[in-house]
Amino acid sequence: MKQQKPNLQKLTAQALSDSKLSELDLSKTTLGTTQLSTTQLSTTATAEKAQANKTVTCLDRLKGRPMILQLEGLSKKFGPDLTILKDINLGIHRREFLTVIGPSGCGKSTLARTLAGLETITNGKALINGEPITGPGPDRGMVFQKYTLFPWLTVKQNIMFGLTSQGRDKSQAEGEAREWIEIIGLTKFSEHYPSQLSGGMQQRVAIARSLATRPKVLLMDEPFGALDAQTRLRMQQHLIEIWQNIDVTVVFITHDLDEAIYLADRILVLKPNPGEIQSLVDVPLPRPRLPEHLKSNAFHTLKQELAVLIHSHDQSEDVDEPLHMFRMTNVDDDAE
Amino acid sequence: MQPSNGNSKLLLAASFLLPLLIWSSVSYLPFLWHPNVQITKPGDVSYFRSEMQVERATFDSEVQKAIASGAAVPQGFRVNPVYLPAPDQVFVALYTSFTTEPKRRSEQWLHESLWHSITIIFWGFTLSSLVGIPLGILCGAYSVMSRLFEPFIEFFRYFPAPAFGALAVAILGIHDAPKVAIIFIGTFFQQVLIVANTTRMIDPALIEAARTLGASRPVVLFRVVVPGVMPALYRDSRILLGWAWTYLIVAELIGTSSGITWFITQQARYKNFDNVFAAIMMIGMIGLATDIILSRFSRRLFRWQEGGAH
Repeated sequence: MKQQKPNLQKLTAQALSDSKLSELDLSKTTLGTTQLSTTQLSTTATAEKAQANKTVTCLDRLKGRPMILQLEGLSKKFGPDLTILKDINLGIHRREFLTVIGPSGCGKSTLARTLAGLETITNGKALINGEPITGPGPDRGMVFQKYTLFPWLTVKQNIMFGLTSQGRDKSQAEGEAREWIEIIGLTKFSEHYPSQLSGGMQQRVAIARSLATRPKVLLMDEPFGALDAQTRLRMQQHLIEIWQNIDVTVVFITHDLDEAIYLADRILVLKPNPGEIQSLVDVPLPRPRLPEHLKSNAFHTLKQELAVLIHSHDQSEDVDEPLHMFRMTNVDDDAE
Repeated sequence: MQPSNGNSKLLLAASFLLPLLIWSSVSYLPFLWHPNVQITKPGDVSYFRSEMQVERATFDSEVQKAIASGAAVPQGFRVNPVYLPAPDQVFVALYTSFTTEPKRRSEQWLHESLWHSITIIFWGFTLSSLVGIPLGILCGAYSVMSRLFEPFIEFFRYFPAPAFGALAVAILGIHDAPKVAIIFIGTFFQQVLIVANTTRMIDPALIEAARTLGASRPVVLFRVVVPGVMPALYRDSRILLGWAWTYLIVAELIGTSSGITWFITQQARYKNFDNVFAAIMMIGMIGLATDIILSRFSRRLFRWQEGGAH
């Protein structure tokens, strides 16, 4: 923990100094959302207060960084009547880890796809590094929930795909791919085809494939949604570790509150029909995140808070309806 | 439900043995069908000749008449019509038809006829694929291409290929060129539409993934769409190749008759129906063998597919 922090700071400082980002006019960006204050959340636990203060400075530092993604009045409609996203105003900082949650139908996947350039923007603007997003590009990587590795390519060839398709020299791409394979711990599998890998391995390759082109932003649309709980937890740790060591901003869509809190610096909560920003919540947990944090008071308070926010708009009405179950057994003793 | 490995082999054998069993019973059990009688002794019936075949009813009534009038009774045994040879005759013919010398000097041996047919198929199918597969992929990948080409092709494919026979001969002469053209016409239009449809079935998520990796449209086409649909295209081509054999029979009848079709018509004219059956079976065997070889090859080619792994 103490070893990593200076490293991270150094990386960040370096990254910031050699970029022209700092010249951006930050006053333009608006955060038109209700922000929960971190202190408010953590007052209940005095023991965590010191830690929380440290986190606050961490978050302050985050917010001091330039914006990498700016959404200004972003709206997305399918057809004339169906509004999926409405008037989204949001600024995402460089090297931030933002998770997006919300009930189904809130347009969180559409948000990621719009940022990726896979969906057109109906109204408003989405800027990356100050440039409007007009289509997909290598500056924004994307990892999908569905396994999207190219099944006819080996692990290594998959990771090389983005590099070579941009005309990068093949042997250089191969060298970089090999480094990535080492990072994700699949050295033994570099010549395997995706059909020979488990779901978790496939998603690790997908992450490496996206990051190999050195995107500024990594968009992740419920990437661990299809994995079992154990694998999911391991993947979350992998992801954090990777993110901490490279200059990338992550926008991570999920429906799992634990995951959203565990990973994020800030959590964007959307409400459905149409998808609008409900709130933008700071996560008062220190980094590096440890599994113990999942049991802390701050974690639980925040989780409850988020659950209330989401359920107030949850439209799946059938959840509370009683089952029309009748007795189908002749065995006398009740199971309960 | 999937049968177990042993069972599926058994079923494979049975699927060939059952028809053979039916054919054998009809051929070798004299009480099954055998609608004719082959005469061994004509007796006093004026028009009966030895080795002549007559219908059973005719034979029976002549026998009745002979008994009633006290004349010599004709004798014979029940046989199947000459156009249904027994399995053993056909199996022998599978070999002997190769060794039978052509009746005229200008005529071809069977193996030459077969080879001729195979080259016609090969050229017709190859030429069609060289144009049809790329065009089909383009139609499947780009809606502009699809809207430009597919309506006309959809219309054209309803023209029966054999209808172009006379035209093809008039334009291309009487030898092999019009035959190749018929196979081309019969294959090409179906091929474009089938390939386009197959191409459309590629997982759009793969294309999206490629685009987020910064792949341009040509890169997506050549490095995602083409390799992605290749196994399905390979399967389509195997089916289309089977259809090409159907057009072969018509193609070989136009202009100067040639190839295996010439052999079949010639042998039917001589009433060598065992040779006719043998030739038809050869077409089937060549088709099946090609398909098996291609399927083996596909497992090698597309090793990355599920199940083909390890």
